[in-house]
Formats: sequence, structure tokens, C-alpha cells
Amino acid sequence: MRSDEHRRGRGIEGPRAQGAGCHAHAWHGHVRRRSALALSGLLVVLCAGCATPSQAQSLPARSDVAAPPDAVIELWEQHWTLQPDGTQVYHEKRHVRLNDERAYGEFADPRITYNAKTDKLEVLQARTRLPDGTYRELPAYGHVLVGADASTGWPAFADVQQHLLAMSGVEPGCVLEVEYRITSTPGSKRALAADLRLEHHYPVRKRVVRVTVPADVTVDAVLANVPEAGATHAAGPRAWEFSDLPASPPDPQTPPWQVRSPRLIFSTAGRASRWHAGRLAQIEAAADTSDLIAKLAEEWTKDIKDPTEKMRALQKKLAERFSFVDFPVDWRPPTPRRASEVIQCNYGLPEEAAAVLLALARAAALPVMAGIVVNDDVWQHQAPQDGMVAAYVVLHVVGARGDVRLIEEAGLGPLAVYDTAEYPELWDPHHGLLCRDRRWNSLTLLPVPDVLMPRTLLEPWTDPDESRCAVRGKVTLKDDGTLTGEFRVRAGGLFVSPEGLLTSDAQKGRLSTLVKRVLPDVSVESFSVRKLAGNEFDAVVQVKSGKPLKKLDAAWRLQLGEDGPGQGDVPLPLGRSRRELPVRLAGAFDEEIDLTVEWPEKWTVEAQPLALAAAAGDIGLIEQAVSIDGHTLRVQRHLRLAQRDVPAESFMTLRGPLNELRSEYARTLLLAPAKP
Amino acid sequence: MSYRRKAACLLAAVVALAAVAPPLWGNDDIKARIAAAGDAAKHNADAVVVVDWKDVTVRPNGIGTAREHKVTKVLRDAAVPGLAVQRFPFDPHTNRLDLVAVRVYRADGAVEDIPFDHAPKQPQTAWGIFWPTDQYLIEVPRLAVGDAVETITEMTGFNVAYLAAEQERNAYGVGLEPPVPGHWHDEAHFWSEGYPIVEKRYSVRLPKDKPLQFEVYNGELRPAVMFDGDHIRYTFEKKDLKPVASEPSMENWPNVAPKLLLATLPTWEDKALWLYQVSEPQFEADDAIRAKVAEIIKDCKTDEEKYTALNHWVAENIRYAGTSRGMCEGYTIHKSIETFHDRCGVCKDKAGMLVTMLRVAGFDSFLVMTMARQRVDAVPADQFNHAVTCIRWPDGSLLLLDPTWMPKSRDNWSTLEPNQHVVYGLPQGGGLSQSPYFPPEDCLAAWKGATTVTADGRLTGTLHFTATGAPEGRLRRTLAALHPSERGDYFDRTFQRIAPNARPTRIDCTDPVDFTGPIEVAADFEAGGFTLGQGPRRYFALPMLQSVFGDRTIYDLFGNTSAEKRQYGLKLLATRLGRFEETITLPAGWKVTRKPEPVELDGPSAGLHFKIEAEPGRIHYTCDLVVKKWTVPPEDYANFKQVIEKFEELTSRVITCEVEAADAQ
Repeated sequence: MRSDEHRRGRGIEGPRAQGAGCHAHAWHGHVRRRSALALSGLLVVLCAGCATPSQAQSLPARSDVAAPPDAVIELWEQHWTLQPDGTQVYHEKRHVRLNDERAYGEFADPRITYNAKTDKLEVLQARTRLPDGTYRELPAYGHVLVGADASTGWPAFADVQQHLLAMSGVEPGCVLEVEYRITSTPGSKRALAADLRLEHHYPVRKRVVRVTVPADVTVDAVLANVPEAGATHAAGPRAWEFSDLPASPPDPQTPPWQVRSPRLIFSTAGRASRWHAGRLAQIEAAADTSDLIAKLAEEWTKDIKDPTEKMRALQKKLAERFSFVDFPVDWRPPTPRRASEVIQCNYGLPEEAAAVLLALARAAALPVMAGIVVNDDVWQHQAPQDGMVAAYVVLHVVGARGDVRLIEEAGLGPLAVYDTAEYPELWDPHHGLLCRDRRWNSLTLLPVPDVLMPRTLLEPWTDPDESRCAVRGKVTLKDDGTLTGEFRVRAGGLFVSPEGLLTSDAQKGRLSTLVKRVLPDVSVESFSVRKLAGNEFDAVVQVKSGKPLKKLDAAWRLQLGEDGPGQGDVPLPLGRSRRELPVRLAGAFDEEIDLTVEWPEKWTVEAQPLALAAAAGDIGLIEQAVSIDGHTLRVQRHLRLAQRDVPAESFMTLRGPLNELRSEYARTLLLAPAKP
Repeated sequence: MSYRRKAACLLAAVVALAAVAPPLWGNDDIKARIAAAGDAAKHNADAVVVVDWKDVTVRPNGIGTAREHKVTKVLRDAAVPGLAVQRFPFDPHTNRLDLVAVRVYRADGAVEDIPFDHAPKQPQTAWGIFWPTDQYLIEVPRLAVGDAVETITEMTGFNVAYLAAEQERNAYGVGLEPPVPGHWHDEAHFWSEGYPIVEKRYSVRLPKDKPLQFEVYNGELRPAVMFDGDHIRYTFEKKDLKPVASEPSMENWPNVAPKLLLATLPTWEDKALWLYQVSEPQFEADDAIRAKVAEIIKDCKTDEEKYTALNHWVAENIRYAGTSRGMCEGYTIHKSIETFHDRCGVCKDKAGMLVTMLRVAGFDSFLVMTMARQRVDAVPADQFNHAVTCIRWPDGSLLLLDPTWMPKSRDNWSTLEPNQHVVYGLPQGGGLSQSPYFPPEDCLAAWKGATTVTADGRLTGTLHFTATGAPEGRLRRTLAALHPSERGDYFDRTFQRIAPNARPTRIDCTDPVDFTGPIEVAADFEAGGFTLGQGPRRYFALPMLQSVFGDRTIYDLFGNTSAEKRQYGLKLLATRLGRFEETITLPAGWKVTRKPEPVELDGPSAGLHFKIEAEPGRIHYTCDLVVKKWTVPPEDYANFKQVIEKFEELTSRVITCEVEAADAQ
């Protein structure tokens, strides 16, 4: 990144600004000022993000970091228009310079997705500016209609297709110029909305976003992850312009871009509560009934009394037989199909599947209502939109139901809810009951409108003391090289998924996984559960080796697993020594291994694991202590990562020690048997 | 080219035209068959295909109609999602697909006809090859165990232009023309990778005066040849097809499973001549191409330098992206002037571009058809999925060049394609031939290391790595796919093959797009705690045998030998010579007390030659891992397994040293 590079953002006049009233005009001035501030702030943020790699090595292979980026986005304009009759127009123009064929895959054959039934697509420009400045227009055969991967093959979504432009004359140094417009008929889309990542993994020289709406339509907009972040709520057209956004190359396992990258969100959906009620009302309306739904509900819940088990049976049977189709919300029809239709054809979108499960549960006389779960990293209540939904769920009221209330939002239809003050069960049609675990966290159930229901949060795992995984025990080696032993396994937080431990086999499987991550050579003989409640799992496990340990020369070799019990569930990006962005973990955690190994008296130790200690401030620590007392060895290992998002520098401080621990010399015990 | 796509089109399309269709089976017969098919207990499957019939009628002009009739019975709920939507793909340029019937036979005996007049038609997905293909989608009402779905379709394909009155049309209404006028061929597979099949039948009716040659490979079918008015009907049938069980990295199913090939074309020579005739008009060059050729070869002195430079240029500059020119797409190449202008094409277009450029440079060059890494059998029923280029030398000998597989490689003809069947599109025609064999040394991956183990167990060392052929190409592609600033990430990861804490401290690597010589990497590296042991002995592995870069150069040789025996051939990337040499310097006072025995294994598919010497302060060894066949046949598997397992054994901690008391902790 060049320090003298000129980076500046400026607000630009919206197409209707000249004719707009004083308020709008003044507001545009405000936008101009805010954007300028935002971009100077953006500069600061990105500079911080592009700090020198924490553990850069002076390898000649890396000396060529000054090589030009594989692509540069020279111009990127997006313009959304909402016309008074409800017609929506999306107009995009993008000029991309390709410096290396590595970028061809992303840009050389752009695909424009549209709905053939409701949208009119006009390709306004598709040409290649060659390095000598001449242009190569796209020949007719370069225009190809193809199916969109995620939606193709499903009759209900057959109108979603892609116009592919197989660009001509692509070579290093060329610039691809593509411009198109999609006009969508009134009613074919829900609110005008978008959630934009302003930067790209290639540099962006100029980025323009415009939103044009009638003067009486309010646009909510949020600019995030820049120092001058903020929200606006105003009527009339809006525009933003940014320049010289530096590249944001990817690192593995980073926090989602929504929390770290400059972000612009806008929506005409109105208040979050209105958007929410409207979406719920649509699912409610779709959750109709039919003979088939009634029949299946009865058949699938036959002989089951417990309401939760009824829900479980319905969800499980549905999931086993249903094809869950998922594709970007921009391509989806504005309203879900009716459950009676969807259950017949047996495939559908997440919101449709939720409507089916809702209908089935109602047919089984269960007290249920629709719900929406959002990802905390993505959700922005000031500019709500469908793309922010993490899951459409069915809320099963297991406590006092209260009265049924009918909520009416103008033009949205009635929404019936239980006026409960209890925590409901949350059922995902595909994956079952939502419990706070490794899959389901950092999520919030949007509060059901006009109901006293307590706020339901599936919080991220940010407290390492909540997610502990401790495996303590002792194994005894016999003369023949086999071993037996007992472990106490205590796992909590993200290491426990209550829904995954419902059966004895599942519990044994989980215990076996955790124990084998400590000693790969053992298998679980038997176990007894001391506690299994919520996210706490405590068990005593008897283990043994099925066959003698392997030998190294004449010595028996007992080896701890390369990754401990924690790292199996919280993978760490330990491969590369270069890192610029924070590491997003499955959660903060604390792992402890306390292993005692006893061997026959006359055996001697040839090699023992390494003792090691390292820390990265308050963020993480690694300790391994090893002691030998006669014919007993004790290894105590403690790994603690106290933050879910570990700064790059801290992570790199720990990477070396972690890789030391994974090396054989840090986890191998060699025992020479007594000489005969 | 995507002759693979072409093959798909041809299989579906060449069998064409609605002439005299066999009668539909009545509902009662189908019902009886469904009932007799049995249940999940009988088949241990989620569904069973009750009938899978394909009946083709060929006209005198070589055109036919393929009627496909399939009935699938649901045995378990798990089959329901997969049958809920019936999909019928076709290529509207070369086919017309007519839906005849879609029915659901309910378990209670009811039969539901599914209307399809308004069945959605949508484009298929496409990646790399953007030939607009469509599919019909039909929703089937909710199914339950015991229900069955019946589908009947007719696929109409190529036609000949001279029969205007009877001309068949494609889905766009354009008159169809076949690739080889007057001729027909097909390939039918008699195996199932999914559900069991109760009865599979393939029949073809041809005019009595149209000779047909066919052969059944890799198994047996029940054949029948019957007179049928002015036609002869050939029928092939097989019952009770169990799903085939695959083996890891096995050779392609058409090489080993029952397959029927049929063709009216007399010989491969005819196919070669046809290829020459349809390709020749496309090789015209213009001034831009001529100028580019002159620019590319201006510094080349020899023929080899010239054709190599041109092959490289096409490989690196004509990106793989296929657009369609209509009905002829798939079996004719684009005009080279267009390919050059667009800078894109699929294998056939790239091969054609190279032919044109070679001709401009004065070479005698032609197009060649081949089947990438799969056998072609004797019946001239196409069977090709790839197109390449050849040079014909004055003495008549031929040199193969493959610009599609050459990117980031120094191989003019890919070492991934040895002994591959080819048909040269020469003016005089030519039979089915084979590409050259590449001996192991043509696919070399060589490690030479000088390492030092210190008294505290630390390893430091220098590695010099080089490669040729397939392993070189793989490594070059890996590196070239990364921006220079990111290549260190790969080196970090691959050095962890020595130990998780190993790290490179210096890397000097050939630019992956510098093709002037074999790729070379020189590196310094280190790893703490490389030896195990704090007592009187130290245990360690041979560092070079951990094969840094092996994740790209020899990875395919491992992980496939757990089975005691194999039924099918084991498919590898290429032949290989892994050559290792290392000198390990030991601390004073360390005495090697255990080292591996020398190994001399040699067999028809693989060999291993390991020698080691230990003297005070030093260990030196050499190891050659030799793989002689890119497909290890089942009869050679024991040899291959023994070699690989022995090599893996050598990669473990095979060295023990006794240390003097002062070093023992």
C-alpha cells in the first residue's frame, strides 16, 4: 500500500437532487460530508488492517510482494431505482483491469442472474479494452443463457437464470467493461435493499452506490466499520462515492466481512418491527393445511405424547424426505409458496420449509408460531432485509401460552401469535432444535411482535470458562504393551451439543472422540454419565487399547494426539506464518489434559514429552508440564484462548508454540522394556 | 474440446428420430413388474429400477429415434427426495426431446398421469463449456414407499440435410445434420452406480441394408438379432444389475464394466478422414495470427524451440472457455481466426489454434481426437472426449502436442496421457493409434538434502528439489495459482511435512512460469526437537523421505493400498520416479545402532531401491521410488502395495543412535 496514495470519498448528487426540496438538498450535503469523513476514517481502519505481517519471514519467495495485484476494479457503480409504480431497476457498471490470469476465473465470464418471468435484462455494454487501447466487443455467441447453480433443477424456481458473458480477447492488461440493467416488474421483489461490502480482495479505484426512490419513500441506510459509521433515515435519493479502496486479501478463518469490512446497508423496508411482522405474516399465510398435511402430521406423531417429542418427530420426518433448496435472497420469489403445495412436491426454500413445519405442527395441535433468527454479526435493525436472516424457525411454546393475539400490519395480513412470556423451543426445519452450541450461536431470535416473550439469544462463545474441555485420567501399561485406564471427561459450552447427545450411542461416540484426541490408541470400553444438562457433559470413561502399542526400535511408544480435544472442535489456522486479519474461533475455550501414565517398574524412559509454556498477553496461553516419578509420568497441558476473535499478532505469538506442541517430541513417551 | 460434452450429446442425440417406435407397454404389464420387483429387504436399497429400456430406430440415412422408458420404484423414504423432480436434459441445437409420458403408479394400484404440457424448461448450469443446454423439469406428486415413477421420452438428434422432405429439426426448429453423414453409433452402459436394476435393455432397429458392427466389453449381455420387416432388430439385455462397488482411485467404469459399442461406420480410418475433412476449413490464418507467430518464434532456432514456443503460447493465452456455434459445436472446431480474436476456446479450439499457428510457422500439422485417460475400444463408435494437435514430419512420423493440458507445464504432450488412444485427422486417414509411453524418469521428483542434527535434537538443513513431467506441472500450477506475495503460505505448509514445527528459513524457487528449464527449489529449513529421546538413545526419521512438496508431486501414490486385493485397476496421475538422496551429519559421539536394511524391490508396476550407509558422524542414503504404470492393473497390485508400504515404513523413525553419556539428559 503506497502511503502517498490519494484516497478520498465524496458524496455525489443523486439524479433527483436538483429538483429536491431544501431538506433533501441539505441532507445530500450531509451525505457528502459524512462520506468524506468516513473515507478518511476508512483509510485509518484499513491501514491498521494492513499492518506488517506479524511473523513475516524474509524469504526470497515472498520478496515479490510488490508485484501488482492480479486485478484492479477501476470502476464499480451500482444504482438501485424504485419507481413510483413499484418497478425496481438495478443498474450496474463495472470496469476491471486484469493483470494476471489468476483473476480470469472471477471476472472473465461474468454472470448476471435474473428472473426470466419478472425481470427484463438489458446488457448495455460488454466489451474488452485491450492493452493497446482498442476495444473488442462481445460477439453474439459470447452471450449464453445458463442455469444458476443453486436454483437450477427445481421447477418452482426455473425462471431464475443467468446471462453469461464469455468475454472476448481477455489477456493480461486488458480491462473488462460490463454494464447492464435489470428492470423488475412491480411486486416481483420485496423492499429495495442491499448489504454491500464496499471493498474487495482486489483494489477498487472508484466505487459508486446510488439509490433513487420517489420523494415520499424513506431509505434507511447504515455505513458501518468506518470511524464515521452511522445510520440515516431520510426520504429521497441517496448516493455514495468512494475512491481508492485498498485490497483486502483473504486470510483463513477471519471474522465475517460484515464486522470488519467497510459496509453500506440500505433498505426501504421500514422499521425492523414492520419488516419482521411482514415476513412472519408471509410465512403464517403460507402455513395452510391440507389433507396430506393432516395425514402426515397424524402418521408422524402417532403414539407420541410429549409435545417436544412430537415436534422432534415432525421435524425429523420432514427433513428425511425434503430437499432443502437455498439460494441468494435476491433471486427468491417475494412470497413463499403455500405449505400444501410445497409438501406435495417435497422441496423448497428455507422460509417455505418453515411454513411446512409450522403447518404440520399446527395439524398435530401443537402451540407454534413462526420465528426469525438473525446472525448477530450480520443483523442491522436500522436497515432490515431478508438477506440478514440466519434461519426461519418454528417457535414451539412449551410453557404458558397466553392468549392468541392477532397482529395486523397494513397490507401484510394478520399474524397470529401466542402472548406467551415463556422461552419457546426454536425448531429449524432442516437441522432440528436450536440449542446454543457450536452450530447455533451468535444468533438472536427477533422478538415476536407485541408479545412479552423474553429475548432469546444464542450468544457467541466468548467466555473461555464457559467452554471448557478437560480430559483427566490415568492409564496403566502392561508388560505386553497394552493399556487400560480411566478418564474423567468434562466438557462444557461449545464442546457440548445437547441435541447431539440424546442417545447412549451418541454419548459414547462423543466421549470416544474426545478421549482419542488425547490418546489415539485407546478405545472406550464403558462409560457412566455423571452429568448431562444443558451444555454440561461430565462422564467417567474406561478405556483400553485393542492391541499392543507400536514399538520404536525396542521401545514402546505412547503418543498423545497431534491436536488436543479442544482443537478438534475449534480448528486453528496453524499452517501459514503470515497473517494480517484476526482469527475467528468457534469460540473462546479452555482445554486441559491431565494424563498419568504408569508402566511396569523395570521399564525405563527413553523419551518423554516436552515441557513448554507460552503466552500472548491475556489472550492466550499454552502450558505443558511434565513430571516423572518412578514409573509414573504425568503430563498436564493447558491451552486457553480467551477471545473468540484473536488478533493476528497474538495468534502468531502462539502459532509457533502450538506447532511445537503438535510435534512428536512434545507428545511422545518412549519406554524401553526391561531386558530379559 | 470437450469431446466429453460431445460424447454426451452424441450418446443422446445420434440415436435419433421418431420413425417407428416400439409399442408402449401397457399399464398392467408395468404394474405386474412393479409388484414383482420386491421390496427394500430384497434389494437392500432405497429404490429399484424396475425397467430401463432404450429402443432406437435408425433410418436409412443413419438417423434414428431413441425411446427411453424407465420405471423406478420407491423402497424406502430416503429415495423420495431424489425422485420428486424428474429432469430431462438435452441440447436444443443437436437434439429435440419429446416427453411421451410421466406416470406415478401408486402402491394401491392407482395410476396418475402427470401433465407436462407446461413443464418448465430451463438452461442447465455450465462451467467452462458454455454451450447452451436445456432441461425439462417435471414435479412428481408426493411419493411414498411402494409407489413407482414411470418416464417415457423420445430423443431426436442429428439428421442429414439432403432428405429435406423428411428432415428432422432440433428444438429451435432448425434442420438437423449429423456429424458423419449417413452413419450412426452409440455406446450403452450396463451397470448402475445408483439403484439396482431389475431389467436393462438396449435395442436398435436398422434397415436391413445398413451393416452394423458391435461388441460387448467387460462382461456378457444376452444378445438377439431378429428380422423386423425391412429392418433388423438387435437387442441386448441384462437382468438383475446390482450397483457396482467402486474402489479408491479406480480406473473409469467404461474400462471395466459391461459396455456395448455399436457403429455403422466401417473403420477408424473413416473417422480420421472425416475429422480431417471437417477440420480443414477452420485452419485459415489472417495477418494478426501470422504476426503473432512471427513474434513468438522470432528467437527460436530449432524446430523444437518453435513448436514448443507456439504450444506454450496457445496453452497460456487461449483461456479455456467454450462458446457455441450451433449444431456443429462439439464435433467441429472454431475457426482459428475467431479463437485468436476471442482468446478463448475449449480443447478442440485450442488444438485447432495450434494447428493453424504451426502451419503458419511451416509445420505440417493436423487435429487429433483422443480419449483422456480412458481406453478406446475397437468399434469406431466415437468414444472421444478430447482433441489435441500433431505435427507430421517429412518421414511420416507424428508428434503429439496438447495445448489444453500444457498450461504451467513443460510437457508438449502431457505426461498424464501416456499410451492413450488417438485418431489422427490426416488427409490419408489413419487408424486407432496410441500416444507414447512415458518412463518413470520422465516424471521425476528429486530431493537432495544435506541436513544436520544437533546434540539437542534440532534439525537444520538444505534441500534442493527439482522435478520434470507430471510432478513438475502440478507444483508449477500450485505456485502459479498464488500471487507472489502468497507463495510463502504454500511453502510454510509443505515444510510442515517434516514436522509441525518445521519452517523454511530461505526459499529460492524458479518462477513457475519460466519454462526454460525444470523447476528448481533451493531451501534452508529448521525444526526443533526433531529427534526423540533424552536417554542413551535418539530416534529420528530421514528428513528427505518426508517429501516436502510431496503433497503436489507424489501424493497420488499413497492412501490406496489398504485393501489386500483389488478388482479394478488403480489409476495414478502418471508414472513416477521419486529420487531421494540425503546426507545427515550427526553430533560427535552419536553412533547409529539401527538403520533400515537396504531394499531392492522390483516388479512390473513399481520398484523401490534403497541404500544406506552410516559411519561416525554421518548417514548417507539414496532411495528410488519407481512407478512404471499410470494404471496399476489388479494383477500388479500386490507389487505396488508392497513397494508403497515399504516406502511408508522408511518414512517413519527408522534411525536409532546411541549417544555418549555427556549427551544423555
